[in-house]
Amino acid sequence: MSKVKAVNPNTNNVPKRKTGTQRFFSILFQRKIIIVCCVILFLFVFGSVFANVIAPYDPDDAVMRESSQGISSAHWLGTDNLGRDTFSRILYGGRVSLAVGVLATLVAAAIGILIGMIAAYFGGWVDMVIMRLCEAMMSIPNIVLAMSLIAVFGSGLINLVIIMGISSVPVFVRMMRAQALQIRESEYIKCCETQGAGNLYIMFRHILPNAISPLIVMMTQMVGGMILMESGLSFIGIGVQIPMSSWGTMISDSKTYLASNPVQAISPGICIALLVVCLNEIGDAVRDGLDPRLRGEL
Amino acid sequence: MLKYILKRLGQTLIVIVIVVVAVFFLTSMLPGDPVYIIAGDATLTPEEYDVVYKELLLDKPIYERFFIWLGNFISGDFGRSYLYNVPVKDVILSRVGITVYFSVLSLILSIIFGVLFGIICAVNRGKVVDTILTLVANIASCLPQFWIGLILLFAFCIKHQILPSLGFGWPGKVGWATHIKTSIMPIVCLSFGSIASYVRQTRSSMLEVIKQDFVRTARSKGVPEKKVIFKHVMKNGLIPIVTITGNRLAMLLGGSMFVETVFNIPGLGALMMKSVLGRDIPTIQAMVILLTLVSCLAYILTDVMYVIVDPRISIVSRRE
Repeated sequence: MSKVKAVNPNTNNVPKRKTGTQRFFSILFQRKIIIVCCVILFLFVFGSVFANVIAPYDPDDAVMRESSQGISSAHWLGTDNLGRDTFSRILYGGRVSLAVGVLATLVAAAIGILIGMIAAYFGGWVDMVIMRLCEAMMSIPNIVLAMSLIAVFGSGLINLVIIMGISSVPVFVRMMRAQALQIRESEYIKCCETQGAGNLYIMFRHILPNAISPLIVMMTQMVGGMILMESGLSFIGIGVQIPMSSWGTMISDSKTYLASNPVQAISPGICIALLVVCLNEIGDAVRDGLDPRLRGEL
Repeated sequence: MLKYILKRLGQTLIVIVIVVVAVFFLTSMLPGDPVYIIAGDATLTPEEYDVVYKELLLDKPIYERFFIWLGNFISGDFGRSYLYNVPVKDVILSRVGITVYFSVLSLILSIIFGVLFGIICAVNRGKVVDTILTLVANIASCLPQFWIGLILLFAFCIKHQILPSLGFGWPGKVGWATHIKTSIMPIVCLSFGSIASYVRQTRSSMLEVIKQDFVRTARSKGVPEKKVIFKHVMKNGLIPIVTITGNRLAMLLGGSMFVETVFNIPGLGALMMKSVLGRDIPTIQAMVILLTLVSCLAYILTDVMYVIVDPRISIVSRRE
């Protein structure tokens, strides 16, 4: 005799329709690895925000008699040639690396969105000039552009953020322009225009919100690249400057002492790689969650 | 086709003109007096200062200087390097060979290994091989190049003294054995990241093709699996490879900067870095313009390659 499961008509098997946010999060966490990535990202963010609470030592406190130590219970990742605790320095360095990465991306996005919108909205020669300038900027390799701009305007944290942002502006300009050109042709924009809405109103109340999702995806995917770029510039010696230190400068400092103290060079590199991998994976997941059609394009 | 190439060349010309103008005026804004950069630590008498000042044409207005500079530049005179005190052209010519050698060799290796591993991943989708290779590729594409270089140095020079640490020599000068020994690590370091991006791209574009109808048709009419993969899928799946190769070619001269720095190889990337650190204006100008030229040509080449590789793409429709 087979048992027939009673079906309660009130709890039907048809899944409830998910709201937009629920759908976004369910796709975001579809792959289990994303949860791991989010946890790691959270640890990095937590560690750098509360660096002053967590760090067991002052990162700039040079104790010469404890210099160049290996891994021990007192110094989890050893100490550098000046006797500074590496674990504490990594926490503080993460603060700088993360902040520069996020801020530079925001600068790039803000400028890019504004200029892209202007290019699309006004068209004609404005568009032509902006696009030619973008092409010129994109034809110079990104890091070379940043290096040359730093040579001209000098390094320093604020300059670094602005220059790294500006070197990546063209990608946002092109994306925003493409989006805005498409949206401008919609009926509701025409409707707004006939009702007498102002340019700025249409741009920021109608075009921007409708174009925002690929831009958000691009931003999440760019933070990792920015952190890599910052570490590269710092490694060369034109990025983050003394007295501040980022993971890039830590690797740069340690290269002279590679033989005696390899942990100094290895640990910040692992941090960079872990953080960037997690950011990229989360970026891809955000893309799939916000707009699956973008897969393959971004 | 010819019309299209000419049009692209025209666009590129505009881009290059913008870059040239921007490079000149931005580098003229460089802080620091060029006279003192050349003099270094030496103290100058006012007379000596005046001589160098006039030599650099600093007594002339900036637009006049621009046209004199432009004229010299077009005729191949890039000025004198402040750091090396020889013509910039000679510095670049003496270094360009090494960089091109390393970049081209690493590009060839990346295409071979990247595409191979990518195909292995796509064919074994979801199996252990695929998971491991994809994971490694994802991580490898996020590792900073200079860090890989340092790790290699630590592993193979310091811990186990298998390979010499620094320097580079052409086989004619130091013999093949030394040449190969000194080039292994830089080439591995340079290829690591780009192999990873080839693997990722090949895998995803192959998988995209595998699920298409014509592949199913081929399979259902009994074409052997090997032939399906190598003939039907690969022909279509490898088109996006052209894009990455174009990007790599665009970075042909500037992409090996970190590797050259870590392994102390006298190439163009190291020159670029030194000139930025030393505020060597003529070298920065020449290098930026050279790198721009190379990347513009690479992008044109990519677009032309697309049409040759994939006859379905017509230039007109791609542009619209």
